[in-house]
Amino acid sequence: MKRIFPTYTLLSAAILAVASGCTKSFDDINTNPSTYSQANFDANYLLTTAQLGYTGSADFAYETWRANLIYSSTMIQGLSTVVSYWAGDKYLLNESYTAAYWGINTDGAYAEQVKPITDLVQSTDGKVKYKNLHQVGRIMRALIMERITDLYGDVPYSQAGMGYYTGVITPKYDKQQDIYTDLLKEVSEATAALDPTADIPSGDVFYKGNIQQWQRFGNSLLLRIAMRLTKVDPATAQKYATQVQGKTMQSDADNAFVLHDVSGARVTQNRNSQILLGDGGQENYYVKWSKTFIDFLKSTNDPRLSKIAVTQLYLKDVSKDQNPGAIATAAVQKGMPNGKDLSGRAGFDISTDPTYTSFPDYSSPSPGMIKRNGPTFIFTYGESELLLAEAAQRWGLGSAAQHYAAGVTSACSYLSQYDPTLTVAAADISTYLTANPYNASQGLQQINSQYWALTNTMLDFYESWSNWRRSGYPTLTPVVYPNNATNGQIPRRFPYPISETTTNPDNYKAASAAVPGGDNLTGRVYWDK
Amino acid sequence: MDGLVGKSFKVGDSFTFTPNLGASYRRTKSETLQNIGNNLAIFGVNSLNNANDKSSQVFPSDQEIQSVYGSLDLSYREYLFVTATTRRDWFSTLATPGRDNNLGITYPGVSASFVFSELWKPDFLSFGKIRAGYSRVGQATIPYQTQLSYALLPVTLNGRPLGTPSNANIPNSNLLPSSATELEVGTELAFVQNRVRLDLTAYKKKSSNEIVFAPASISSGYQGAVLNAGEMENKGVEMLLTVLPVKTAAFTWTSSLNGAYNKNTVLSLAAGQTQSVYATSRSGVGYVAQIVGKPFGQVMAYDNKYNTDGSIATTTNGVPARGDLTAYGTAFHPLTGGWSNDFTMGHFNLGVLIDGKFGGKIFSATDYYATVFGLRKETLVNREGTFGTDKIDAATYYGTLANNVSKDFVQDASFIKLRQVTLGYSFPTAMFNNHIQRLTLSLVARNLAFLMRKTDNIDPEGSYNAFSQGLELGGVPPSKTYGLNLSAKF
Repeated sequence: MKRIFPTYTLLSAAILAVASGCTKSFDDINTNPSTYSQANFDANYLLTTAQLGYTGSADFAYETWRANLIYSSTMIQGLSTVVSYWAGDKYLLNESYTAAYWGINTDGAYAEQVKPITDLVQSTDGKVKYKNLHQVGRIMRALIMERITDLYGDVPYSQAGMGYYTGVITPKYDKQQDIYTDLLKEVSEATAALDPTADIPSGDVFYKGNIQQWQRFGNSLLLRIAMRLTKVDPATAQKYATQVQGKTMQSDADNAFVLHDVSGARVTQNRNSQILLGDGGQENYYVKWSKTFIDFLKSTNDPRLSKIAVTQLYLKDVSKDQNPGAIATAAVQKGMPNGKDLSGRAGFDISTDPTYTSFPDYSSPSPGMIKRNGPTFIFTYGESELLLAEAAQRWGLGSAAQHYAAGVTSACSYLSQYDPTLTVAAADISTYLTANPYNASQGLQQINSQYWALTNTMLDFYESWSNWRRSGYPTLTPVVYPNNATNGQIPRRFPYPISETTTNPDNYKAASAAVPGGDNLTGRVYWDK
Repeated sequence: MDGLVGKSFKVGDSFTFTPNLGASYRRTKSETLQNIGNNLAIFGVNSLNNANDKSSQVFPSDQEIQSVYGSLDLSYREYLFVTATTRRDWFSTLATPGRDNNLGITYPGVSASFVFSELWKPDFLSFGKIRAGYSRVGQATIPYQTQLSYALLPVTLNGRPLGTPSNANIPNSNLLPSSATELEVGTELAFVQNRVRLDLTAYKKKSSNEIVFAPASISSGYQGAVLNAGEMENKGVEMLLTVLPVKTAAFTWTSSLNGAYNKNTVLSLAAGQTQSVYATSRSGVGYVAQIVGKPFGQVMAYDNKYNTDGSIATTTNGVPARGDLTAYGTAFHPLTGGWSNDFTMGHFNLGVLIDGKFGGKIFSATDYYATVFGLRKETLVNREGTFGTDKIDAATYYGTLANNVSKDFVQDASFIKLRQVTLGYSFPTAMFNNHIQRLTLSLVARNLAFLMRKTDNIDPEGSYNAFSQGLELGGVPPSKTYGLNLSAKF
């Protein structure tokens, strides 16, 4: 025994020495070598992601397909379709589609827009090398949050995307009134704090880091946010409209858009184009410009009509091949009525409609607008001018007629940014304006109908819907369709996502119960009283 | 890498001590390389080189666990045994650069058994033993959960990198190891020349500081958070009774009854949280969740919405509206049991197994979809008519109803099944001059019948995987199977 014990003890001691206190390498082992830390990352790359995210999801245009196209475009009678799952065309409720913009898991606005932009704003705060990037981030976050709250009403805002910084996994829903107050404050402050002598944000795909353009974008955005309040708080709208006079976008060159890229497949290709080219179904054949919209353009010989619409683009439902002989002539363009289907029921089946001849005879968006590498327009000079026209009409801020003319002119001329084939000749624009001059007695209707036409051509149907809800123009006749979820009314908001009943139950319940008119398609957001 | 040294020492005639000391080191490292090619240059050539758009990503994983442990076994004669153990683990997955937090945990354990029949053995008793034990174990988590990190997407936008916070779950730099303690007592008894054997166990187990991925509202930017959250308790008894009612040279009957009862309680979740949904039915209206004060795995669905006078509220178009998400019971059966009988007569053997589980719930997405598509019997009511003042049709009515009020799809999953019957024949070994020790041919029939079941259209065992126990969708009905088994032993 005496001989064994020393050996045994020694060996035991050796094992203990080896095994304890050797955790120095643990920090390295538990650091993912394929990722970056806040210290060595370039926050500009978050801006690019957020700007691309604002054009739609990297996952097969997830919310663009459902929220922008299936719902917004058809409710607002910009597009029209007989595709059965396009629930918005008939005011049917598909809860997973109305939840799509909010998003679920890794798809949608909170995951793909709010997360990166909020992280950008937080991680660049107080850092000299990111002075402008931080302010651009604040403006960008306001742009992103405005659309979310416009679609749903009271939403997580102050705690949104802040999971890492606050640890809050059940963000509270802020009142839309408070959100708007903060959006106006954020954009005012951030725009004022932009410094043309400081850093040039390299991740910016709107303006390639041009700070003067960001200042004008900021002021135009401030105008748009403020004008959303004309029904509910005109005094605040007027205050900010006054503040931004002379500081807004100056020309089509100030238009903000994201130019897409074919190389990254679905992640970087144009979201609207992927769907309208039929990547996910037969949308290319069965989704058309709405009769309401085409009739609007036709009634005034609008020079845009022959640029944005073609017939005979797709000749067979089974083919995705575009017909090179598609017809752009204005006279043959024909919109498809909304609220129709392929059910065979008289009055509902499109083939029983008096306008029906064949699907290729209805007008499609022209090929130049739906390129895979084409732009997604974010916010344009034309919108800015039309908003100024309304402010002038309401409160005498400058000349409504001048702003209107500038807005309509831009709403035509900007189309060349899609593709040279969409260029509207300057002479045609003046002819159109001469024939359809601004008439102050119908000013708001004229301005907002033009705004609707512009945002329709931008394929920004979210904005068409919001501005229609705010202004009431153009006057739309709801479709009549059995089994609709709205008593036949055009929807006014999206219900809250069902996923919130499980992941954020207490805040969800309170917010859901507080929606005026109920948490459904006919409830109202704060500014839409 | 493992090292262990130990040695037994005898003290006198009765006592034996065996100390053991060991250490182990485990490093698990992997790297996954993902290459994606899109947009093939030449159609039909399925090669990465042929892709116009290529992207590549690396997914590493790395972790290390270091441990030291020791034990001391004591035995007194052949009837008293005591083992004391201790162990300490250090986990790399809890480490955060710049923080000196506690990466290790120590677990003590002690167990004892006493074969009392060595000292006291009345006629009816063949064997008797009691045992008791206390133990504690710990765990950490998967790598890279303690720091915020950023990653680039595998593609660029016109040459510009696309970056994003890469954590799906909010990281946590304060993670501690989780721990579970268990207290167990039991007895093994045999009576009447081992013709009756009884094994009884009672236990109480408490897990705390569990490292969980608590689901978050996506509006936080994250799908969840890594948290030391949650305490859970399991209390239960297990029993196995084996009886040989007949044992003669010509005929043997062995009957064996087992049963277990487990009471599970979720004691707490993350701070401020009383409910955490961890699995969602494909239907989108059924869930499984942990709820404080209730057993793990509560099956949840939407109740009706009620007006203040108690009547059922409806939506704009007249369909019953969605009410609160409500828990209808655990997906895990608290009571389980089985009864097997084996009969041997000469070369023939007959076995019959019946088993059952009781008290669990299941959400049937099969019934959900059958309702949406009008394939369920319940949707025949007023099929050709209209509903409500908006005169909606049956398809819209039932489709909306299924989405609004899903509680009807939660069913009692209790069942008793005639699980298996086997009939075997063992050939006399003499037939093969004893070259083959044993040759048995058996007829095996499985899943023969439900002796009791509460679900209407589905197999109560139809959950689609272990993680989503309690959620069923389109499960293939269990089929009766008949087989022929030939086994030989040389």
